[in-house]
Amino acid sequence: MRIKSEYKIRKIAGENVIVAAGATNVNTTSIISFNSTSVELWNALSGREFEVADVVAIIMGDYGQSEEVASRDAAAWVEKLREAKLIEE
Amino acid sequence: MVRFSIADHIIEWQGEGVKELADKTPNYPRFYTTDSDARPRMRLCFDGEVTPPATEPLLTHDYDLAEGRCTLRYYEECYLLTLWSGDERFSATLLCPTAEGAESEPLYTYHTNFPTSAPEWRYLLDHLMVFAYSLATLNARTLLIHSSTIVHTERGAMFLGESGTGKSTHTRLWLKHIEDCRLLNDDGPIIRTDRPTPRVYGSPWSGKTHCYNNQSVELAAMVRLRQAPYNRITRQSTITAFGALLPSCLPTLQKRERDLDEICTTLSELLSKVPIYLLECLPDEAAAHTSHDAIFQ
Repeated sequence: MRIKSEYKIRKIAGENVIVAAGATNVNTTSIISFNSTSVELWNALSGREFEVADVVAIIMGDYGQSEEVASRDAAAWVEKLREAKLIEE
Repeated sequence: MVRFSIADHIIEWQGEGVKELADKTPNYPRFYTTDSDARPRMRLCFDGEVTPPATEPLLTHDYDLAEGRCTLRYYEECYLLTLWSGDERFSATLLCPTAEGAESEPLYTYHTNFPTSAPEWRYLLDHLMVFAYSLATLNARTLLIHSSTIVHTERGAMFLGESGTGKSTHTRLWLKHIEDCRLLNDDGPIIRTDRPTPRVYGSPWSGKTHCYNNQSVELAAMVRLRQAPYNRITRQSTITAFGALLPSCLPTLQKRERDLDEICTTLSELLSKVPIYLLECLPDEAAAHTSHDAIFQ
């Protein structure tokens, strides 16, 4: 999978947000808010192909989580991105 | 040639008969300026010469207007806006090449073959001007925000919401029930955040209401309206506030990354300086007091 190249993180009054424009008009625009972990994952994975295993590796390496916890968090994070249609398979 | 000052930006119309054209409108003469020294931000040439680029557009966006329809084409170096009147007998094309001059003081020159003989010419002209103006002032921390704006004790409160939410109804309730109030603009006021405190300006664009005030006040608050069977006002978090403001900015300038960047920068400055509220309300007197008390007391 891959993070869609048209999206980027913008800093709005101290918050990290992604503006996901709708296909046809602005009424379907959604705003996704990111915490610092999400920003780090996003920056590490943008612009390349990745698998859930890559997300797990980052979480284990940078946050010292067990594989079990990291796997659960990674799957949840990818699922959130998928729901927001920020990923192409 | 004729010159206007809109939210303190100098706008120039060039071409034969432009003064007569502006004089025929109820809204533009209020914004004439005699300042001939200031550098214009935007120049609109009514010269009938529009040569579209030979290349394919990067993106094409079609949308309907109340009295016609539009196609906006985005090219690498320019925008091409085509408007059709309701009966499709008339079209106006607007071409905007990249701005010239320094980044701090750009000049946007547009060319149009605007048809003054179209029955809906005033409506088409306003639509064309709103787009041209918004684009030309985007990186000057200037934004036209779809709202009805009231002035109370010389400070402004902007009421936002989708069409039919009751923005104008709500500001009418203020005028009726709250002292020391006047309407600044009923549809398209302009904010600027490149001021010591953000300001809201009247504009020539006020929807169906003839309210074309060439004045500005400090901005006290912005309020997103939502119809409800009760009156309740709540201060919004940054994220919710951003989500409330973005849909009230021009959609055509949210399609392209560099334009959206500019909008986001201005909104970011606004959000860190001005409180944003959500007002769930009825169309009654108590609703006006609810929002007044939250903003001004």
